[in-house]
Amino acid sequence: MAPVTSMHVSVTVNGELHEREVEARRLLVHLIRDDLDLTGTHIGCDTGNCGACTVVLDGLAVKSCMLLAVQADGASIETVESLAGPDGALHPLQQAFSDRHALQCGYCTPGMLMSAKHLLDHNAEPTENEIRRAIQGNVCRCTGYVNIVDAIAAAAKGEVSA
Amino acid sequence: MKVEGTRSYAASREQVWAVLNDPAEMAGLMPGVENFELLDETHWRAKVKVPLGLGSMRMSIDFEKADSRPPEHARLQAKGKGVGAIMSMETEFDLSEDGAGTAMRWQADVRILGQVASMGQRVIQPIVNQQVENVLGALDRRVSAKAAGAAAGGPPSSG
Amino acid sequence: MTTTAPEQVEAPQKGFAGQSIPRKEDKRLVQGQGVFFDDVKRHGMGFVHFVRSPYAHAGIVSIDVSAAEELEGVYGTLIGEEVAAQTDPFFEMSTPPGSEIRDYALAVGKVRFSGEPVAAVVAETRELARDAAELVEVEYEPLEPVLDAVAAAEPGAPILHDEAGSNVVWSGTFEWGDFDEALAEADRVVKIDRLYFHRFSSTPLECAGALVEYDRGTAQWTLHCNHQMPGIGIVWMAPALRVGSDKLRIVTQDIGGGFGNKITLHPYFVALCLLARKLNRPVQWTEWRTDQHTANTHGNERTFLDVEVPVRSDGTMLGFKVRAFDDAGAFPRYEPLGCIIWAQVTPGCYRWRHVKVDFTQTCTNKSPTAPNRGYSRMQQLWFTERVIDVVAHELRLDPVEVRKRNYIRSDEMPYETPNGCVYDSGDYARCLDIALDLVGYDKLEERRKDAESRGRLLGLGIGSTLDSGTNNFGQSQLLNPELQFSGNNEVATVRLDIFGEIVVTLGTTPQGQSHETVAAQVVADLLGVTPDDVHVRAGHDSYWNSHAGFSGTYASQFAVTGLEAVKGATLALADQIRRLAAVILGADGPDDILLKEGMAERRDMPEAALPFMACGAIINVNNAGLPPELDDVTLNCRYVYRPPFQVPDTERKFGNLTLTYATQIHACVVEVDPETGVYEIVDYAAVDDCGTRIHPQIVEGQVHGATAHALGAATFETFPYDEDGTLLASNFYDYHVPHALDMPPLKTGSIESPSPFNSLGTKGMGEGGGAGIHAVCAALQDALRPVGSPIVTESHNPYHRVWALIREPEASRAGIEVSER
Repeated sequence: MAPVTSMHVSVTVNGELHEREVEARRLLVHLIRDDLDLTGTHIGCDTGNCGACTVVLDGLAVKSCMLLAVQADGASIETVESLAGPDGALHPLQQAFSDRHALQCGYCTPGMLMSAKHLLDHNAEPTENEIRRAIQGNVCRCTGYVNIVDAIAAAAKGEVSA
Repeated sequence: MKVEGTRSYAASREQVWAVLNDPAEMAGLMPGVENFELLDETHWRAKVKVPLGLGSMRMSIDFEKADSRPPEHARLQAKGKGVGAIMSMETEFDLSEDGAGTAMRWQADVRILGQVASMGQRVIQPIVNQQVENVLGALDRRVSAKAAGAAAGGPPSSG
Repeated sequence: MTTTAPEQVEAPQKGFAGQSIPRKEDKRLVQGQGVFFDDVKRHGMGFVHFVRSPYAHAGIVSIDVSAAEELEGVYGTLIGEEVAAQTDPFFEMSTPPGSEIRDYALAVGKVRFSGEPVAAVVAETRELARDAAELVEVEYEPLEPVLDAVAAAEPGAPILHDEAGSNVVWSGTFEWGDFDEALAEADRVVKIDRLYFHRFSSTPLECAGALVEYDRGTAQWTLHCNHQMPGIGIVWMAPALRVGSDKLRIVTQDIGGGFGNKITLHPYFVALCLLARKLNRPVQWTEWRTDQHTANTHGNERTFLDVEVPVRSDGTMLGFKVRAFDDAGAFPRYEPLGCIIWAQVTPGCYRWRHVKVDFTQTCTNKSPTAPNRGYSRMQQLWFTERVIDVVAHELRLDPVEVRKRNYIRSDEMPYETPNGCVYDSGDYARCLDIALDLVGYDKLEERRKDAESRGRLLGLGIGSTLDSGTNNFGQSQLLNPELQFSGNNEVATVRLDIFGEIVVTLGTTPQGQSHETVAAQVVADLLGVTPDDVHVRAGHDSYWNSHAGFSGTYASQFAVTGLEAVKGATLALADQIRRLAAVILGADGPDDILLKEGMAERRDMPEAALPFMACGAIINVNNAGLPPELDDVTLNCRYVYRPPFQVPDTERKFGNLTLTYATQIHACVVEVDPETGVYEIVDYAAVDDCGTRIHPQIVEGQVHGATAHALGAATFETFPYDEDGTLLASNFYDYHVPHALDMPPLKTGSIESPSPFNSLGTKGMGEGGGAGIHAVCAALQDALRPVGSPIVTESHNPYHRVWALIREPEASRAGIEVSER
């Protein structure tokens, strides 16, 4: 019997149910980017080090390049596209990142935001060290993290511009 | 990288030599050999699956018997090609009488090039060590079996 | 929090320039709505995977792609032979022998570095392309590699490029002032036998790539990509492809970091162009991280030999002499420009007048190099800072005092360096004082004692650097007088559209430098509107007419070159609006029209005002009856800014190579564990002076980023090769870039010394000159004084090297000699 090479997968992404037949070896990040066309989630490395592809899966911040799409069958996933409100209002983290100049090229930003969101969902008042720990799996090559750490702290405290 | 060591066997030099110098015997001892083909007296080819961290890498390895002084010294060259990797290995062993048994001094110089070498510096040394251990372990068992077989009056091995 | 909402600013005359307004780019980027090249898709596109050499140096005996082509879902392949038949080699900038090197999109005949592409496969999916690439059979004949730049120049070294007959790309001598006279004048001469600046790269998070479409009907290619220097990129690619530059359309929008690593993408892009044409379908290539590390570009690796520094007893240094070897890797590409770019900052921040440099650049069997943040100047500035600290150490002088004694003084500005560069403005001593203040220099000895009591060694180090911006491409003629490059340019168009929209188009390719925001600030001030009213097109498109030969984003260009273009175009538009309004409103002339809050109004009669919307509508769709004096009014103004450069004197290798010089002075305090060599940066300050700042928050962000790159390179980031020429740091496991927990707290300070050489007073900045590397080296050397006073001679100091310095301090000092005169 030939090995199974594809599988039916159903995932809920940003509240919407998607059903796809996917190749068994397809990475979750490629399902998100290429099949579902949610290109806000980025890819920066081949080895799970950079975190540009971070999404929240069933309440956990995960690197979507380190999971096969078939492993996400039945899961509920949030990507950066879920953060802003339906009226287009930015999430406090997004606003804080802009206020504090916590992004330059913006490539790491979606993953960074998802790690930060996961942190604030579980720890409303993180210390600076807790913030740094929460984003240690996310590489930024532009900012030196100074303003990112500031922005996450500001979002936690609600210090964002209207 | 170079690995070397010594090993002793409760078997005669000829018995050890016979196992070491029979490509088919050796192919049976190496882990992951999926296919083996004798090209001529001194050349053979094996398709091998090498474990590599989580995955594995298939390599096609060409062996050449470069030097041989039965029953004491042999040198073997191997060149392998796989996806993202090229392997070359030179291995040598010397057999000497050690009481009733045989002592073997061996060394191998393994070089790996390409993406696998670049990515896997941290895992290659342990993998090479593990492969060598596997081969030597299998060799131990095979030589013991041969020696036991010979003692029991079995047919002498050819080769 | 330094952000000011634009609404809070009432009078536009006060100006948006100088304020940290919200960035225009952010809204899309924080929502994941940026468009990076990998987000662009086309129907039926094929995915490209390159087959790469495992050998650092080998002949190619044969390539067999038949098995790959037979695989279902594979669209086609490309090999070196086809490339050699269909393209010409890329032009080389060097004189012979470097000029003889033949560089193609794929390896032809032999491979010269591990990771060099030898074939390309295109398939229906990324995964399939990779599968198919594994089926390509390449037979190699291994050759001995040469991996060291100095060894590569020696007779008998394996030759990479047989057609050149030598590994030397370029070599030459530079003599300014009178070094022998300086030796005679000196009280002492300090000799250092070897200093070494290591190989690393700023490794942008987004890898390189492109989606390339070929239009058969027009024979034109469109490249949706992340090339950061499209102007020169086209100059490389078009002749190689044997087409005019109009046949190549380069489009970028958002780029995930560049740092110079996306300047020399032309070999890959030419391969993609050939594939798109051959297969008649769009092809997409996204570089893998491993490939970026092994085979994209690295920063220049430089070895400094036989350094001599004449010094007077009071610590005044008179100049230096050195033999420098630069490692270009396997192909020169942007090189040998690195052999001259360093000369923009020949004496660093110092009043050194007598310089003798013997410079050689060679090819080695390693990844090609290309500009990397601080390109070539960073290496030179590291050298000058090492010279200062080694001399200070040997002559028992205070590193702060000796810097101040040798710094060029603010009252000497503009200052002409020994090789004719003009430092426009700056106050290095003041920047240093601010940096020292920020790290509590006055309490240094107490902190040393405190650290000692905890078993730690504390040290302070300084990195003084310059960020030279807006370069004069005429410096290329100092390497090769035959080259037809000089000056510089950038372009912008600003137009007023039908509904009154102000639309700005830039020639630049920002990768996080916030050009949309900063351009909008400049335009808003000149037209009397707010930045929200200014629509700056995102990214670059060489089909827009806003594109010039040197267009791109590199070498600290924008704040002067880019903004002067924006300003020029905006002033032209403002003039046209005023002329139009003067006619419509019956004013005496354009001078009687004031642009304010989106209106063109008569100064003498403010109620007579024409909204911009009306101006746009009149010219574009309602233009009957306009008088002939308005015939040239299009409300679509293009301006090309050309900096005031001359061609340098090629005989003396003398002339002004850069327009502006921003200053970065950093101070670093480290604590070292003498048992293990592990160290921690416990205090850090970066002081910046980039003249007038249009957006201080963005400037500070650049300072943070450049510092992070430098600190990463100082401690973690290096590209080592094994003896076979295999790179040992081909991913982010082995190549550790700073993470949030690695970064020390950063303090920043700034002063503004406006540049007298441009109308905005700005200076290009963002590269930082590697100040952090220099400061860490100096701090380590200072900290280790109690354990045998080792000298830091290498730019990369991981913990194990510091441990080695502690164990064998004499070894590090063996090459240092002081002679009395």
